Amino acid sequence: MVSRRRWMFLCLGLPVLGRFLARQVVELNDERGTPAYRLEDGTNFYPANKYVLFGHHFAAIAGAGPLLGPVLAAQFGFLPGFLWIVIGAVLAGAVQDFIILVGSLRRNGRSLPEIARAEIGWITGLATAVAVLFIVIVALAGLGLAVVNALYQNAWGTFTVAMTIPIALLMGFYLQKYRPGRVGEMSFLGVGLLIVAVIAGRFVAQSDLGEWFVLEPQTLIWLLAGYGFLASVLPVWMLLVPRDYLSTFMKLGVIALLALGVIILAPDIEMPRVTRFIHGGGPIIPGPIFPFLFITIACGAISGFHSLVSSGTTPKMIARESQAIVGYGAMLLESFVGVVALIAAGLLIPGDYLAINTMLSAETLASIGFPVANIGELSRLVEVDVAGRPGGAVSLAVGMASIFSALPGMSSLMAYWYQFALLFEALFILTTIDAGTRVARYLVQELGGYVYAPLKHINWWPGVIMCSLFVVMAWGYLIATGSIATIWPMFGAANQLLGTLALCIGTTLLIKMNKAKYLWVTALPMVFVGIITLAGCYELWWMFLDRAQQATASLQITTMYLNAGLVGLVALLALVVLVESSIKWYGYVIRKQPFTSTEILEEKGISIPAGPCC
Amino acid sequence: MTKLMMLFWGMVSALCAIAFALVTGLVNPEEKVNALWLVVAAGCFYVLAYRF
Repeated sequence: MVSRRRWMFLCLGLPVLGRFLARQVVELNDERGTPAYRLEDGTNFYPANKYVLFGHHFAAIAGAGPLLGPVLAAQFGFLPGFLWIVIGAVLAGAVQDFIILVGSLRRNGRSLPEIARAEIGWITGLATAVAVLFIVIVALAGLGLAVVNALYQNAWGTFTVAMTIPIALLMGFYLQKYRPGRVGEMSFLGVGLLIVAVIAGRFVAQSDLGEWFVLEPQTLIWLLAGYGFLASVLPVWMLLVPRDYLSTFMKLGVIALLALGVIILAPDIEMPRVTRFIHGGGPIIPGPIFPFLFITIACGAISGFHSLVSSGTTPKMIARESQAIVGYGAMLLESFVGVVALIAAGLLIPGDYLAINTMLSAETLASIGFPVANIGELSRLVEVDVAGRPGGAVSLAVGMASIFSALPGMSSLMAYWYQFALLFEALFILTTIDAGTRVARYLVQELGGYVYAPLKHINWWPGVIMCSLFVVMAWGYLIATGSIATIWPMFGAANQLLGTLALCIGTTLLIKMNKAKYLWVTALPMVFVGIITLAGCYELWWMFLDRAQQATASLQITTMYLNAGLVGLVALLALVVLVESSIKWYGYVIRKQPFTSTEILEEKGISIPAGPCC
Repeated sequence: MTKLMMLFWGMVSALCAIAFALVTGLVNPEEKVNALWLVVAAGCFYVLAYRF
């Protein structure tokens, strides 16, 4: 039996696969207890139904990241992105999510920085906490920028997205005060109101009220920052929890609809397999395919962010150890979301795709060999000027709207589908912004607590307000001074740094499970993702220094030096962690030093509150 | 694994291989790829990876 399976692995060239990981590598065993029963408290720790568990884990890992990254990377042609998403997810992303989930499951559901501290050392623990803080802030900046570019001068979309806030508040009060526990009713109400908001948006935009919702990018950044601040200081049940429900249902529904649309219509991909931008000089993502493809598509192939969910809420809900395989399966589904997003972008004529995702004029695009075909027609159909809105959100919404409106009986509804698709993306992004700001605020309080002790108290109001303001200002500043070409690769590099850290911790866990013979399962992807992180930081470092020298405005010069400093920090953190871990591994594996595993022990460290990811 | 199951998984693998060949342009490099092939290639690959 085993030999036949080995033979099949070799045939397929796929040595790292789900069932092999579960049975051979970590040996999932239902005889072991799980923290869901051991520490059951009904709120954080409780055994969930396996479908609920899968839905929860998938919704928590898949945000706007797998929708936007593949769209931006389509400038290299659809093939490189497609291969990286599919192969990267199977060999690296799903392995990381699964191993960390099992590690946390066997450590009472502790968080990644806590595991890092207990299993490797305090340097790695601290580096992990700093990396998490950094990645959350840069992720919020990248996603926020996509929202701003989608909503400026778009009264309909701005109104619809703004309405999600009162809808979420209403749902929150409904569930908390009016009819506690009626999640189904509340979600039905919420989704109904959202659809009303999409339809009403058109009338509002055309009425006298419309001008209130025609906003400039700067105003939108201030509004977004204000929203993030409020969400971070309000109680979770008021805004965060209802939003989470709303976006989960939207996520599963829209992705299923989109996949169905692609299957029914079977459209041709207009994007070439590879474009000449693989050698660098692309208008969306600067730089050549290596390492930029791998830092543009993080979510969908491998995303370090997921290790926070895998060591956050999910391990506290697993009833039987064998169900931990959801960590592997959910990542494959997220990867599929990435493929669907790539298809939606690839359906556009390449010239139109570039006209939406860059600020270049039609003449410039024609001169570099990508003539714009029907951007005017598209703008007329969706009733918004779509050209020059980088970030991926708009071109994805146009692609999605063209799929939906091509379905039978939908042809006149393109504008509605477009705004619906935008709402769908904005909903995820705002969910990430409110949860992310809160997570970053907790982390700033934890880290700040080492300097000034009262900051550590999560409910000390001056601390809460100061730390929330700090976080909001940090990502607001990055949005206001950056562009997709600068922020998105930084986000990717930070995300891959966290992926390297997670795989590094995973490798240590394998050694401590006495499974050193399967070390390559996590070590190979760790080396690959580590190289990507370092190569990406190296390229970005020189790019930022170059831009700083070319810049004239003093604000821009400061920003570019700051960005260079930040990517330098990312590279430094990656090196520190790799060196400390390598020393430990050398001791354990080669010199056979004794080690302790913290599978049962309790130890203090930095804990992170629950929240969905990018 | 029964003979029938082996036949089934063999067919899934074959479909996966054909879809990948079309997507990567090993076959018909001049023609535009249908989006359905991307869905099939990815879907089969995930199912195989999860199952084994």
